[in-house]
Formats: sequence, structure tokens, C-alpha cells
Amino acid sequence: MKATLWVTRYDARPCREDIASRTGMTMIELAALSEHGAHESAVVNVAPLLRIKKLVKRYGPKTVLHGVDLDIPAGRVVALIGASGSGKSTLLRCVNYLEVPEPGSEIWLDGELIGQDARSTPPRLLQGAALRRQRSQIGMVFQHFNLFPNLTALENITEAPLAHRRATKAEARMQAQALLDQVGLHDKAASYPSQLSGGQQQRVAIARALAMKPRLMLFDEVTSALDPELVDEVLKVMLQLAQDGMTMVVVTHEMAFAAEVADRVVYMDQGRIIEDGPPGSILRNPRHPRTQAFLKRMLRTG
Amino acid sequence: MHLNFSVWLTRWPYLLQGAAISLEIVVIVLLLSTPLAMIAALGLGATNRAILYPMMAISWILRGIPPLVILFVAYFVVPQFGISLTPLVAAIAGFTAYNTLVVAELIVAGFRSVDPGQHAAIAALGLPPFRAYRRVLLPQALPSIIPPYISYSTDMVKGTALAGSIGVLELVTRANQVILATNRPFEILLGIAALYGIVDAGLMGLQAAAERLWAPHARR
Ligand SMILES: Nc1ncnc2c1ncn2[C@@H]1O[C@H](COP(=O)(O)OP(=O)(O)OP(=O)(O)O)[C@@H](O)[C@H]1O
Ligand SMILES: [Mg+2]
Repeated sequence: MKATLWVTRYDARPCREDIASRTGMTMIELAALSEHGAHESAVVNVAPLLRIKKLVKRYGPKTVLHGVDLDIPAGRVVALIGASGSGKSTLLRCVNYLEVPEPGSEIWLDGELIGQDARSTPPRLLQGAALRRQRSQIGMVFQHFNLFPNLTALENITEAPLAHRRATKAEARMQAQALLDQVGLHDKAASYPSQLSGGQQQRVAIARALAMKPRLMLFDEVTSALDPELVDEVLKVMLQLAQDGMTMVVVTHEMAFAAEVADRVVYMDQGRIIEDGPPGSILRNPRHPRTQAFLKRMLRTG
Repeated sequence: MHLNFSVWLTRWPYLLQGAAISLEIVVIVLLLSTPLAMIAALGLGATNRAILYPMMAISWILRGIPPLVILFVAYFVVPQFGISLTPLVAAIAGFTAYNTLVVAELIVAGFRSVDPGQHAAIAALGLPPFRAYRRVLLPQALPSIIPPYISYSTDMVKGTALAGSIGVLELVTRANQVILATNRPFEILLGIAALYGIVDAGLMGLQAAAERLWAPHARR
């Protein structure tokens, strides 16, 4: 049988030291792992995995994102916080072109322009298979899970790899089962979403997004719809993912999670990033008055 | 009153033939209009306005005027353009036109009832449209399409009586002839009601089976 090894280590090229220090693995172990696909040359390549440039989004006359710039190196976890309506979801949805940003906006994933054809001037919007391929490299997890209710947990996970012809049926099922193990649901393969708790559904949704081996994961308030006692099981899976070197953008109201897991906290206000830095400084000593007010509100309610 | 069903002893082949013609109309119209409706539904669900608006206009007209008028148009107006249709063909064409748009609207409504989050998940995973329809959207839309579809089909069984007005010798028209000839209205009409009842019962059984089949998936 062809070895379809399920590598839980993600493409985290430019910051191997970083990973080593976070996971406690030795550099030699990491080098061995990188032979499964990472390129040595990329270690010197310091370009960020995700680069957002001049991102503008309008709905009719209303500008929701005012030229956002954001660079995220591989393997980093960025917590995106901000008041309701500040444009966090819109930002995430522009990254994988679920929403089409205004012309002039650029999203780069590992040197590849997303959603637009870089060869044409001005860039044409990508459609069809080319866009679908790009999207499959970006995992997205939603507040309301959006699992397919007519498919079992396992089928939810195998659907994308099979659709993209990434694997045979048997391989896809094996990989899906491994992912279910990874999110702590090894015995739920045959369950339909309606038979699972919210926390379990969300973990299946994370597994589903991971099945395409994405290079970037986007999380949009993935614990907001959960009963409080189910939040931790989902955050634990995300923490593990972060420790495995996944690059993540996490929109969240869980400040404790942001403080513990994120390398960086980005605060958005009315479609602009107005504060960006390590969690310690943003969460404890916010400079901007709006950030201060927001955090005060969060501490009161959350 | 004294009921005497012996009229059926001599008249049954004529009446059953009428029933067969009614059934034939229903079956052919369903076979034609269902696939056509799927295509029309694509037009009604289109984002391209050059397709959407004409389709909406067609749908509005065909569903807005009485089916009888559509039959008249098919039988009396279409021949003016050099295409002459037999009553049966005109009836089938007219009913098909009407039913196509009725069913198309059902299909569109069924797909609209699917949670928008499903579309977001499909897009984010990069699932190709055909596969997404087959594996995700259609199975979720069908439970809300099938029951009204069958209910419209039942309506159409009754509606075939309209074909008599353009000269199709379907069941009700023949029943009327036999009543005039024998002066036995009750016996004939009771028998006719039973025939319709049998067909409707069959369709309802089908509906129940369909609902059972899709019920486990419909749960959220
Ligand atoms: N499809 C849309 N059409 C019009 N306006 C929209 C649309 N989607 C979002 N908006 C507007 O864009 C702004 C940003 O919305 P967005 O959902 O990105 O905010 P958010 O930061 O995610 O808020 P929340 O914390 O409530 O999820 C809001 O003012 C919202 O009303
Ligand atoms: Mg949001």
C-alpha cells in the first residue's frame, strides 16, 4: 500500500527554532520531519505565509474594511479581536474569497496571489477549479459549524479530499479516522451531526477543515455558539493544533485563550487594525483608548 | 334511491380507457415537466439577470393564468402558427408548460430552504458545484421538495379533467357521455370517484415512502 502518512506537522518553514522551542522537539527531529515536504531553501525565505495588503471591502456605500495590511509568518497564531461589526468576519471571509474584496486588495498565501490571476493586468478574478484549489489550502471553521447534516462525521471529513481527488476512498477514510482520533472523537465516525453535541460537532468541523491539509486555518468565533461547558474541549483541539505548528487566524472573544495560545493579538476597530502586538502587551497594557474600552467590556462580561 | 351498478358491465372498457388516457397525460406530463423543471429552476435561481428576469416573467405568466387558458392557447392559438396539435398532444403540451414552472418554483424554494452556512462550507472546502449539489444540497433540499411535488401531482390527476374541454376523451368526459346515455349518474360518478381515489392513494403512498426515506437526513 502506498504510504499515506498523516503528518500532523504543518508547513512551518521560516521559524523552525520557534517551533522547536514551543514543542520541545529537537532541531534534528524537526529536520527529519521537514523532509516530508518542507524545503530547506525556504528556511531563509522570510516572506510571511499569509500577506494581506491594502484589503478594502465595501457593501454598497458602506466601507467595512479600510485597507487592512497584515503579515503572518508560518506557524504563528494570531488572535483577531474587536467589537461586533468591526469587520473581523469580513476579513476572514476575504482571505479565502468567500467575499470578494475591492480591486487593488491583495491576499498572498505563501507567495501565491489568492482569488486573482496574477498574470493578467489588472488581475482577473479567479473562478472555478483554480479558485477551489486555492480555497482547499485554507481551512475555515465557522461559528455554527456548518457541518453537512445528511452526512456522517466521517463522510463530512472525507468529502473534500474525495472531491479534490486527493485520496482513494480507503485512504480518505483512514485519514478521516486519524483526524477523528486527533480531535478526540474516535468512536463518532458513524454519527450524524444531529447526534453530536455542539462541542463534538465543532471538533468534527475542525477535522473536516484539516482533511485538505491546509496551510492556514481560519477560525471565526468557533466557540461562541457553544454551551460554556463545551468550550474547553474545542479550545484544547485548537491549542494542540497551534503547538503542532499550524498557522492560525483566530477571531475570538476568549481572551484567556488569546493570551495563552496566540503569538500576536490584533485589535480591529471599524474596519481598521488599530493595535497589533504580543498578547501580553495588548491585553494587559492596551495603548489605544478604544482597545482599553473594549477590553474593559470584555472583562466585565466574559 | 336504488343503485344499480350493472351499467358498468357494458361500459367499463370505455370508461377505463378514459382513465388510461387521464393517467397517460399525468405520467407523460410528469416525465416531461420534471426534468424541464430542473432546467427552469436553474434559470430561476440564476444570478445572471439576463436569464433570471425572463424566467421570472415566464413563470409569472404560466402560473398566473388558469391552466384551462393554457390548454386553449395550446389547442387553438398554436395551430395559427402552422403547428397543429391533436387534442391529446395539445393537452400534454399545455399541462407540461404549466407544471414545469410550478415544479421549478418548488425546486427553487427547496434549495433556498437550505441553510446558507452550507454554501459557505461548500465554498470554503472548494467542493465542485455538481458534487456539492449531489452530495450536500440536493439531499437537504429534497425533503422540502418531495411532499409538495406529490401534492401538486395529485392535483394534476384531478386537473386532467380540463383536457375534456379541448376534446380529449379522458375519464370525466367519457363519464359525462355515459351518464347522458344511461341516465345512471350516481353509479357512474361513484365508480369514477373510486378510480381517482385509487390513483391518489397510490401517490400518497409514494409520498409517505419518500418522507420515510429522507426523514433521517432531514434531522438537524
Ligand atoms: N453581506 C453583508 N451585507 C452588508 N453588510 C454586511 C454584510 N456582511 C457584513 N456586513 C457589515 O459589515 C460590518 C462588519 O461585519 P462583520 O461581520 O465582519 O463584523 P464582525 O467583526 O465579525 O462582528 P461580530 O463580532 O458581530 O461577528 C458590519 O457593519 C456588518 O453589518
Ligand atoms: Mg463575525
